Amino acid sequence: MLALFVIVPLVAAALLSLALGKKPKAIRWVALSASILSLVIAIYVAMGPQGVSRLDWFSIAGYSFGISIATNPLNAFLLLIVAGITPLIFAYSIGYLDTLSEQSRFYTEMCIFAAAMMLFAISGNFITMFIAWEMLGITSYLLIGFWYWREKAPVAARKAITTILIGDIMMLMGMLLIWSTYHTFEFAALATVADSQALQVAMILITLAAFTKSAQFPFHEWLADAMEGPTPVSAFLHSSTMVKAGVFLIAVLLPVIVAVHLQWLLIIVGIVTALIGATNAIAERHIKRILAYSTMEDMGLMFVALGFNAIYAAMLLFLVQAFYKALLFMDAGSIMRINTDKEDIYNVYESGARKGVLISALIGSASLAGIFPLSGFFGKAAVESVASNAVIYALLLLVEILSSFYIFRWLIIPSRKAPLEEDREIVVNAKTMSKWMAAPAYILAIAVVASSLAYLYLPRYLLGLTYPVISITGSIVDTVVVLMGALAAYYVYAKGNRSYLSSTHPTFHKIMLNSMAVNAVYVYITKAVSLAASAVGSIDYAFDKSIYALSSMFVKIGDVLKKMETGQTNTYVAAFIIGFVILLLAVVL
Amino acid sequence: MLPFIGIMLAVLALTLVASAMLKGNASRLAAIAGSAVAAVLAFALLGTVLYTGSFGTGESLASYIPQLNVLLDFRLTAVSLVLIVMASIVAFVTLLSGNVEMERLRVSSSLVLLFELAAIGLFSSANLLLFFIFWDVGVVALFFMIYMLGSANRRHAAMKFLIYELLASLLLLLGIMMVYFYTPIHSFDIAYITSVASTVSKSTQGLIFFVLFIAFLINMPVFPVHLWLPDAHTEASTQGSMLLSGVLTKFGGYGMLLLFSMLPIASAYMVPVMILAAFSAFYSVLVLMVQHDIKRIVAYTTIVEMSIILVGIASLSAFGTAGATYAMLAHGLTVALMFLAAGSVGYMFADRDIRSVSGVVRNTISTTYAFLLGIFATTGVPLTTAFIGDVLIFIGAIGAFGIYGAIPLAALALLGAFLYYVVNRSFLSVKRKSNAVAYIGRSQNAGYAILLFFILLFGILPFVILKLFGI
Amino acid sequence: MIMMIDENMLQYALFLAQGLLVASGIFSVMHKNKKAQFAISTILLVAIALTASSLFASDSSIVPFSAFRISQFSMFFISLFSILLVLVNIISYEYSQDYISFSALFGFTIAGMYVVTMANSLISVFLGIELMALPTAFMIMINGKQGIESAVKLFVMAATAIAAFSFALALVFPFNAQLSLTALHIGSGQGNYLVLLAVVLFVISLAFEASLFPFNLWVPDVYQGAQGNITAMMSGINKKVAFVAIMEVFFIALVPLSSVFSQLFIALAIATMFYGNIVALVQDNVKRLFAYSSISQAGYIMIGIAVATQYGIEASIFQIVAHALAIIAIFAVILWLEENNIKSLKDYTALSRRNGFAAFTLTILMLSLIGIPPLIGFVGKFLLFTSAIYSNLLFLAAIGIFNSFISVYYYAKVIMAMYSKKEEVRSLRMGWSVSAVSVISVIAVLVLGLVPQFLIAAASQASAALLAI
Repeated sequence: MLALFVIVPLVAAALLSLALGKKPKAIRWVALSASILSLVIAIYVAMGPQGVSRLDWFSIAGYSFGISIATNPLNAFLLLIVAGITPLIFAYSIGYLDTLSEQSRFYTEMCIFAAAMMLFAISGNFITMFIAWEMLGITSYLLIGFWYWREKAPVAARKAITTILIGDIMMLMGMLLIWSTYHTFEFAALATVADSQALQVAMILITLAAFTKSAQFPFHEWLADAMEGPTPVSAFLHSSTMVKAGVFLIAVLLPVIVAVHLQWLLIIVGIVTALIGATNAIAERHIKRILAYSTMEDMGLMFVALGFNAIYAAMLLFLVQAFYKALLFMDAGSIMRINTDKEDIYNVYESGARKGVLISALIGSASLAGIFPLSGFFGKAAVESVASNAVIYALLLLVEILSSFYIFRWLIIPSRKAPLEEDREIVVNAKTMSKWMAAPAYILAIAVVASSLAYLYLPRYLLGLTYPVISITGSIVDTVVVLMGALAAYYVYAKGNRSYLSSTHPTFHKIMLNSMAVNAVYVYITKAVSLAASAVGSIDYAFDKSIYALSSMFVKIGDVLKKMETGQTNTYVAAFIIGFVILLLAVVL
Repeated sequence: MLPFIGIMLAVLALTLVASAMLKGNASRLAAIAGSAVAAVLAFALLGTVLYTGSFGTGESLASYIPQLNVLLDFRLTAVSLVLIVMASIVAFVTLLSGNVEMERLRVSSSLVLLFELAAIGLFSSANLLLFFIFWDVGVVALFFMIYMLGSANRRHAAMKFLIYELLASLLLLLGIMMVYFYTPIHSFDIAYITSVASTVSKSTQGLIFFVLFIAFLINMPVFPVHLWLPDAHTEASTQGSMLLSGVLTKFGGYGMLLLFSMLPIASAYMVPVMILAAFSAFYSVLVLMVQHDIKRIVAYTTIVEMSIILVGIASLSAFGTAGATYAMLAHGLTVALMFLAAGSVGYMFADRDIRSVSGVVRNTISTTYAFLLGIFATTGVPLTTAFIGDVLIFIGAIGAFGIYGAIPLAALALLGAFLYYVVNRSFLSVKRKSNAVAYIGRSQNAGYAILLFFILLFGILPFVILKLFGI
Repeated sequence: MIMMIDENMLQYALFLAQGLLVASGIFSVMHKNKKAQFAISTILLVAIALTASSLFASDSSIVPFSAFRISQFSMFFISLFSILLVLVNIISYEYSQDYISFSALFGFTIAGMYVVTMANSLISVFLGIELMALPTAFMIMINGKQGIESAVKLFVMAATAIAAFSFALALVFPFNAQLSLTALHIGSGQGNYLVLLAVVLFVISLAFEASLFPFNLWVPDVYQGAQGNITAMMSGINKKVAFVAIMEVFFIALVPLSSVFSQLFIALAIATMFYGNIVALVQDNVKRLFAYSSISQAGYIMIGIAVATQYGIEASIFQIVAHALAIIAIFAVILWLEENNIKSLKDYTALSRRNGFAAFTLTILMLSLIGIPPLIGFVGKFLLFTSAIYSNLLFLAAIGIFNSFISVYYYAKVIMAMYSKKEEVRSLRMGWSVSAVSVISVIAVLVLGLVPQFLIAAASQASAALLAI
């Protein structure tokens, strides 16, 4: 239960940040120090005793519902990643976010976002997890739509929250089904329960919910659009929070998923998403969206690894991806900043940027591509090594080659020489760019390199297993594939012309940009819902009108009856006599 | 426990008289003070019950019609206590901040007080006739609120409201008279009826159930008798809307809970009722999607929420009952917040159409975020009150109806999706120039704060309320 | 012993006061002193009410002159009518165009009412109704041209009804050569068509007086044509006297036939409720609207009589009080408004701004008529409907409730008109008599609604007394 204190500094900072609305400069320091404090506590927690502690929240009808805090190795692992990256993100934000008026809102939301992810990391039952899960959802919604005055941001935020909401409801349904069947919300207790139909339905729902959070097919569309948010948000959201929540949840619940035989779902969805991510990244030109598609791909790979019941592989990629993705986003933000917030890789230039930024971007890209001996290599090779199915293995290699290609495309295209006029501007921008934006990237670059060691250490730490041996053949194949991709990118974009893919190979481009098709399906679904809505709406309207007509029937009868009132006495006498006759007949008959 | 209820009713009655005598803002202030005292008393009552661990015995204040064994007697149950607390908070905030325009203060304050009196009386009454009497008083008070303080088209809406509501109340009358007649010792006492209801023949029970069910269904409201609510909301003043959705619909919900706990035959109708409720939830969420008026949209969320509450009631379990109660508490507070925000928008922009109102956040941050947080609370985000309600309702529903019990939850996803669309269209986006013609004052912000405080309080500390169900 | 002396003294006092009342009316034509006549008649009415209530309290059962009967039943109604007559007298004093002539006719009408109420024979009933109806027609005539038309209508219709009544009398007389209510032994009427014909004739003649459908088509015309105070009297008292007559004739004289007339009354009650309520929906003239409203209320009252149990009669008696209290004040307010040329629904727009108290009065009284608790009308309807359910006439209660529901629409129309907004309104001053009657009536409606137990007890005793005869 002591572990819960890890979120206290951040929650306090969030509240303080709200209160300090009039002193925007102080807020950033409050947030940064809170995150560092959280990191300290997180380390303390990780070194502390393992286990699950439980606190009753409410009880009813003899059952008690509680908050459950787990400090198992897996939890400590995620907690450390989140707590470790948070101060870097906050530091980066100091340089990134210079508009004073937004500080309060930004840090409040960011602190809750970080706190939610930390709570998620240490949650030991569904209730605790769901609290964190929903908090992540709504804060990410707020952060993606942070610049609400922009044209696309509100739309992107809505897309995200809609997808997330669907996931939330599926998650709620799933966890309530589990409770109703087994009367427990504890993750630990689930591992030993008997299989049942309800459990299968619940696990399908929960897996789908995890897919919405981790942007897996067919719920992946929101992720690329989420780039409308500020870059620190992207860096945070893609590396250690939000999208990681889904993967982590599945990792925690993996024994149950294996028990109900749902691995196929993870593998198929994972590989499909990885392919979608990798191909779209090739066709995309938005500097951050390319990285977003890359995230989808990485998440897909993690699900594939989980599908093969290889927690260690998934978690290895999980760890290294957090570092290189945070790094790449920070560098992307820096490059955008020196190019006056331009977003198209064909319009931005790296020429005047700090050397450190360029080097760190290179390290990050190489790691993402999976070049030995950077950490990305171990992550990806570990996933490939567990793929026991030939088709999947082949597809994984395809993904590898594609990802190597697009990340070097991402790096190479902006590296060309800028036109003179823009070059001057870039140099000026680079000089005024805050050091706070560069420094965290350097730290992360070191982490990217250093986390190679995780390959040796992580599995043992996590599961008490010896690390998986990546076969020499596998490594060689992997390296060859990666180099092929890198070389292809070099020849296409550095040596050859840099013209747009859409004009040189329109059909290929269309195939690559396949997320448009998924998007079209979304549009159709939305249209179908709104069609249903207008149909039901008109039914409602007609219903209202018909009830009105029915009720005005009385008024019409009244009008008819009113005609009896002729004002003539003889009519009245006639009515009198008729009434008499009727009554008489009634009595006699 | 009785002194509390008696004192609350007395305080409200005295304040009502004072408020009707005073003029202008003095009248409003008197009403605020009175309802604040009532709210404090409600919490004192809650505290006392929790401390002593008992609801005390019901007592009668006086005899109303001794010939018919009708007493003015009050009692407390977990459900009624929760609803009393909710009603007293909502009424207090309504008085404090609901009258955004600060117009016709005397009339509005007096009517709110009268309604609060009726609501607290209704939730605490121990016999059905008293229940009916307070019901009608509440309905009439709200009718006048809609009609006297409403907007341009109020005539039609008020008439519709009155006709639907009095249909409900007359069916209720018929139903309780039947209950009265068919119990061995003719009595309106709820506890007594519950204890002897099983001796009544099945067919009679079925008839009584049907009559009362329709009555409460109209009030809740749930499809197919929901049509009065959107119109009433469109035309009602902000205060009227807050009380209408916040408290009046709970009359029906409370009645429905009573009905299901009173007649054993109810267990035979669980499934049809559940199907109706689920259908109503999806139906109304779809209708909601073609609305443009913010108040109308919020009005339809009420129908969705009340349908889901009906799912909980229909599950006839301890979870369902506690969940429905909790959801009613949540919905009362949340919808009051949403209507306060919607009313503020209407006041500031002289327009409530989501197609033309844009960028509310530019003019008022508090209203924007109040509405947004209201949506979070509506969709049942954890740590808001609604989450506990949803969890309990659906545990009950799944227990009673199996996997199908969880289906109505999907309506919540649709609801949330559309509400976020509203936010991004009107509140948190700046597409066109938007200029407020007026600005809300401090009292509205205070109202937001109070409601949000309680929404979070009951969401974070659910054990306080749920402990009542164990007593 | 003391009781006996008291009773005798009281009954003589009662007759004396009643005689004086009639005499004072006649004498007023000679002295033409409005104030004096008003004071005398009011004091006498109050005295009668007090005497009758003491007789009620002492639970007397005497048959003076064998034509009359003093029982809790008759004394209850004597006091009720006397109090209501005071109200009518007050508004008439201010608004009657010729108060002196009014007083003279008023005296006779009152005499008729008392005779019916205390009747112990069919002849008394017959004479009383005549005595009540004819002066009423003349009273309407005082009102000028429109009044004459109404008066003639009333006269013609009354004549028809009286013809039916006397025919019925002729039919039942041969059975026992007795017209005393208690001594009429006509058997159960099984297969005896003459008896059945007599029953039907009694029903229709009294249905005319009680304004039951379809013998009530004259009512709206006459109510609209008559001056408000007379309308108030007709609707609040004359009609109630007819119900008293119905109770006396059917529950004393024709009890063995209850299975026959009960069915007829159920049909009449249903038809009347529907007719009154549905036609009221389409009325524009407020006075006419309330004429229909009071028709529908007659239908509700009939429910209790149709149920034909002690509880049903008790409920009817209670509802008679409830309706009379409300309708007299309503017609008083309408009278005052008509004097100010406010007649149609449209004219009622924004009445609350012009005279808040008038709007409030009408609203409270209408809510009582709808049956909104905690007003007296609610208790009345509640008793009526439960009495129907008690006798396994659930459908009758359901129809009654459904009719209350229909009535909401037109009452709400009036309320909404009164509380609607309108620019530039001229405030109106309410006449003192109307204010007085309104205050009394609103207080009574509220207090008797909140504390109905004493009135219910009284009604219960009265109904028990009726059935015990």
